[in-house]
Amino acid sequence: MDRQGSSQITRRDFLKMTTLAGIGVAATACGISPKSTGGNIKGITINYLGWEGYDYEKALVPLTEPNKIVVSSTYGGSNDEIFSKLKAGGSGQYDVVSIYHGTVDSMIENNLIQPVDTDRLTNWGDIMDAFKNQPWGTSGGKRYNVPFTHGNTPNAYNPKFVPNGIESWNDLKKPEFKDKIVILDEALQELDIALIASGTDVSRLVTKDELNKAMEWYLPLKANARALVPSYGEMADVMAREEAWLSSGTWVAIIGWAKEKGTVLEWKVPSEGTYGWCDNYVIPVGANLDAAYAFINQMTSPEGQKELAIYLNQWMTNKKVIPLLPPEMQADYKDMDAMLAKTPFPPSPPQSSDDPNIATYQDYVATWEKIKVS
Amino acid sequence: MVFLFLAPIFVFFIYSFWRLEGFEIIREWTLENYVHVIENKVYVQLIVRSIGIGMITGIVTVLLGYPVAYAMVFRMKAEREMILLLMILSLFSSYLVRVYAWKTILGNNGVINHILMTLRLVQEPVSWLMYSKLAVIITLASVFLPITVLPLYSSLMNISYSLIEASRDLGAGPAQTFRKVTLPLSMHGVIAGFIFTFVLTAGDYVTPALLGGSNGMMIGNAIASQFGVASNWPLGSAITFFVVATLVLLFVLGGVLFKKMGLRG
Repeated sequence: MDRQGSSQITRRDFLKMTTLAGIGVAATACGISPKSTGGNIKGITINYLGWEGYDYEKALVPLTEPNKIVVSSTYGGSNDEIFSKLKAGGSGQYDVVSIYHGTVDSMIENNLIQPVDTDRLTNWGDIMDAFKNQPWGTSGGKRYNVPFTHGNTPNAYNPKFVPNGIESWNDLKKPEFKDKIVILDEALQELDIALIASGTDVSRLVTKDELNKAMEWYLPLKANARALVPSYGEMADVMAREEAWLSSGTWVAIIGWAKEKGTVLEWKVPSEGTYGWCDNYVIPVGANLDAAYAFINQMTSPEGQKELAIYLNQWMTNKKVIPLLPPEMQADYKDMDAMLAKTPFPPSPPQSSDDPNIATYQDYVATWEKIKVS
Repeated sequence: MVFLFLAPIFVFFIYSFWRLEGFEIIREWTLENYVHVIENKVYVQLIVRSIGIGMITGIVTVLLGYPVAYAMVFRMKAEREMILLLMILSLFSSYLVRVYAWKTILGNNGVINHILMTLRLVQEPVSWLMYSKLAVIITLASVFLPITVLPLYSSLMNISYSLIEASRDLGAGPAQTFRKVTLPLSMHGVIAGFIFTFVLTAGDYVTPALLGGSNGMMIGNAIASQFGVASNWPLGSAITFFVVATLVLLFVLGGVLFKKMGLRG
């Protein structure tokens, strides 16, 4: 009997088919649907440019292992560096880029990125509305960004010395906190905090006058500071060694880093509020679209987001990730909508402006240097 | 060799006459970066602060290094090579490791505060030891001390011992011999050691960033900021060459002063 021509299914054939079907179901569940890839992604290399960690290997395994995909990463230490790398002949070299929300519009203006087809984004419907409705990332009615993680910039404190934290950013200027504060050497973060504390809306470009007012607000805080540190790692170290009890603005990741060093820190948003940030995947001009959508779909899938959330200790944008997270992380999402509704997402200051009243990036840097020297 | 040294300097010199617009470097000749540096009090303040810290550190290292070099040459001849080897070995240790080591010595929970508290000399940790200009000077002095000792040692080794013996034979005491013979003859080493430390210290930006606290920023940090976060290479280059010009001017003035004092460097 010619088994080749037989319509009978052998045990081996059955196993092969069920295995393939199983992989297909698993891949669909992980966001790798035929719609997501739209082409052959077997054995390709995905070229990633952006922040380290946003290409987390474990989050990508369901995409990379069955498809034998290699992710080749180039990291940038700042949003400007990522922008510059793309600007300096990056077209065609990268398939997907991660970037801060404030830089997306500059990338659009410089024709560095292309619109995303939301029909090819398998998780687009599950992304929180708060991030789809932000003013950044769209131009000419087209969307250019896929928001995937976000956070805010609260105040960190050591409850051993400041049991309830501070109520207002102004509390950082109190005499009892003289030499007990650590500030980050980062112009945009510190001046955004000062702008909020001095009553300026940071969800739009700010004026030079508002920036000067923020500087005046910041000077007494700087006079109270014990250390001005170059990185969040240093900030965690200074607070873990109890050299400082309070931070200015911070990244919540330092809470975990200080805990590893044996010091319990907590964070709180003072009454004036704080600002939010959101990191996005964007697709550069000249990218391999199949590679780009496969990567983005995996990283915005509930499973990919879960791995990222735990690895980075950050909030994610896919609503479906919440039940997959450990209980202590789920608690952060309880009042998320209300918090996001009152959190401004500042645009990056422009490098230059036709309006002489608008504060440029160089104005921020110069103002911050004046504060540091004061 | 000269090309490798001069080429990057020349490139940055050219950059200092260009300007940044948006994210683009506009290759049009302009003096606006230099005007900005001169008009901006921040940079002048930082240069003055950096020169001050550089001078203090240079003086401290010479004052600490001179007795070491003197002892190696005239008092500890048998141990001389071992001490010299240890000095050179210390230069192999990472600069950053030494900076972090000082954090564990000067901090609130550091060695010094621990001793002071144990001896009940203070009730609470002395906070000004760390995150201050003092912390920067102490750390930089410790880092650059071996570099200062080497030219001091070399200049003292070149002094003919017969001159010292002649001074003593003619009735001069040890102090007078040191003041009239040894010190003037070793002045080349003193000046070289001071200049090495001064130049390296005044341009440093790592130690001020890690230990300088909220008032320890130096001109190196401002330059790093322009080349880094601000991406303004033309302005960063202009600040750099303004600092270089200031230091050259200082050395010329110093040379004139030494000449008037009868010393030649």
